[in-house]
Amino acid sequence: MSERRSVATEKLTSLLVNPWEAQYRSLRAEVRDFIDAETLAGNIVRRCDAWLSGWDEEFSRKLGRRGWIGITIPVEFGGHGRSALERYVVTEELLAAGAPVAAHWITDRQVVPSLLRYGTEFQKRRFLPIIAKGDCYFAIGLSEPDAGSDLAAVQTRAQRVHGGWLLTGTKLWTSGAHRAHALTVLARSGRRGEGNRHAGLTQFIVEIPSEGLSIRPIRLLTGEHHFNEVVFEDVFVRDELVLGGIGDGWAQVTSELAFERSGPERWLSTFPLFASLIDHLQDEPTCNSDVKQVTGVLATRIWVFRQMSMSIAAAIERGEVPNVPSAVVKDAGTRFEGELIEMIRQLRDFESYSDDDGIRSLFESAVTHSPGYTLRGGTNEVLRGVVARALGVS
Amino acid sequence: MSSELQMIVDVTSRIFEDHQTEERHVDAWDAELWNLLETTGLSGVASLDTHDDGAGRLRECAAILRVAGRFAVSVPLAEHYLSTWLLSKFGLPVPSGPLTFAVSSGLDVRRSGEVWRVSGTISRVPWAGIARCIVVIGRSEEDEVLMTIFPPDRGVVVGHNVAGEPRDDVVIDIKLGANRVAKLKPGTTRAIQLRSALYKVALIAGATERAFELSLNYVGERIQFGRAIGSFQVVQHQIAEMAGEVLALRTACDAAVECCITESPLRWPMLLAVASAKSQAGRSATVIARTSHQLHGAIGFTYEHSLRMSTTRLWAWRDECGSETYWANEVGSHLLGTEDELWAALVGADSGDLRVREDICENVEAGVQHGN
Repeated sequence: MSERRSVATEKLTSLLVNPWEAQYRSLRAEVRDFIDAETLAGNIVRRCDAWLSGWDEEFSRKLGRRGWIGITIPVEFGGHGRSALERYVVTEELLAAGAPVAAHWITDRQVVPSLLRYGTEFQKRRFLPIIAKGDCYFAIGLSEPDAGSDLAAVQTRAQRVHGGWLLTGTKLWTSGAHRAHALTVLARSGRRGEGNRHAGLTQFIVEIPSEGLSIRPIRLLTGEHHFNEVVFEDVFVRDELVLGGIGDGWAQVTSELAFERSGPERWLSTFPLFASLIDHLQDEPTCNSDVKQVTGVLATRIWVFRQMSMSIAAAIERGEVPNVPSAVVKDAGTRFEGELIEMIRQLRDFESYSDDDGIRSLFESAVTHSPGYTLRGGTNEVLRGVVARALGVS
Repeated sequence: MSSELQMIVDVTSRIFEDHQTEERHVDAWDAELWNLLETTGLSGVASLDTHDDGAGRLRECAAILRVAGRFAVSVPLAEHYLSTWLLSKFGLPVPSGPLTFAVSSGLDVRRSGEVWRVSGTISRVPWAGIARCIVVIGRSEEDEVLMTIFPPDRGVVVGHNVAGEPRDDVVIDIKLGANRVAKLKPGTTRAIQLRSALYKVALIAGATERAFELSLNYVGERIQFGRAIGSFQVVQHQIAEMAGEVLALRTACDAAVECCITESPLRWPMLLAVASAKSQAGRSATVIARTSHQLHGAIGFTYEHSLRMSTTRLWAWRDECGSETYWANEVGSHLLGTEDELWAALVGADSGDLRVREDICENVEAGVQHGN
């Protein structure tokens, strides 16, 4: 066994566990009180995959007023200057409750860190304060008709013109663009480098509406409207809305992946189904051993995912880039979201129950949304490739 | 990991590495290694004579056991740690090792006056044949009791697990003076059960790491169809899945250890932590054993290849100290029996709270003195 390999493996497949939860007990309690009150008022109706499909701008504004959006934004930009660990606590509680957080979700998760890291003073002042208030939602334009898993194949073109850039091309599967106020766009601003397909990409901020920009719905298999096709026909972007460096798009997009991949939304999307089932079973006089078994298996798996997510959150907070653990959590966690549905399905004969308790509706929405869990944000197959390459297997 | 802990891990690794060369796989009792552990002090880590941090030096024990699992050592280190921790916790003399340990519900334990009558068979006691003393937790009609059983007091029917580690049946029919028996308050057995499960988790974590590293090396070296098999995407995906299991288990192990340091063993958060970690250990053991063999092909299926040292242990250990089924039922029973909403039960609002440990030492009613 080569010593060097062993050390490298150790580094890639271990996380420093340093429990930090206790520090934020009062914040957690505060969020729970809020959720209880909102549930009682009928503003939260437990649903699965709520971070994709629970669009409720009024609810987002309420969170903004409480300081729970853009938590890490410094006070000078209208934020609260708090840590990513506090964001973890807030988002985890909202997800577990199945609260409608879709309107601000992507903005809070990806756009805020991007703006903080790469945004100009102008961009920060323009967007961050309204984001933190829960008033401004972004969409993210990455995928294209011929660039899905192979993101570096994007063909949307950015052409230099006086005072800015002209964007031409098509973005696909752009969640929430039809209700967003702006979107970020990854476009080809220069030629691919010699042997480097990642060169020549740049990120832009496009405000909605803009001249030459058209947004068309692509309905999910349920008929719901989340995805869009976004077409750019000579859309002018002035220089002050270039996000980050010219040609730095690839590095910028990939640097946020650890954050995007490791959060609790990667294993909690179907949790509301489990929670409702347990609510219901707790009222039943007897439980057979299969029920206990499934409950225990699901609960213990959730405990493990939680420990990984929290450790990754702490690593990110320390300034590390735990890409391998993040890819692992997303791969295993999103598969688990589907496995949860199947285990509950084996347990409960849905056809012989009425839907008085709403469990069947939760089940149906969990199933019909399930193809998305292991596709969005990079397919699981791509993630496994990332892990293997990092371990020197290629 | 703190630098002090890292140093312990490094030293332990070096000792095991130097001792176990490639051509020397010890399957039977490795007395030579045990002597080495005694002279270096590594076997005495869990004894609280010199230093008690309140948690029985759990971090150190778990870290060392993970290394022991990695090197597939043939000594009863986990059992010895558990026994010495218990004896020293109760202020009892700790005999020289190795010691082993068993919880038995099948023993007949009766008190008549100052004498305890103990009879019956305890099945599958780890390393009973070579242990200098067996620390046994049993039940009388009223109480949980701790007893120390020495070689003259027991018969041993030799047995093994699938890794070839001794798992013996111990036959007892003796009278013990009151100085050899301590009464425990209810719940103590649970505390001990959790700790032994956690030690097993650490061992399994080490064994999965070794099997994973062997596989990583092999897919880089093995050439088929003119290229290293690691260049095939299907192999890369198997490696990635293994990495996921290794990471999940390692994290679960460390997090459960931390939980046991701050939580009372009689409270639900610690049960959930250990149950989750042991369940993860079972799942990881299964995936890692299966996939590492699949990747190694026929060579890994041989007695000569060292992969079996890890995989046979994974197959054995995943069922010891409670299988996934056992722990899932424990957790499921709690969640279905509580009034708490599911999420609140899984993530307590006071989760991670540092509270006064319910020291199991205070649960002892009668101290014991004996010489041997």
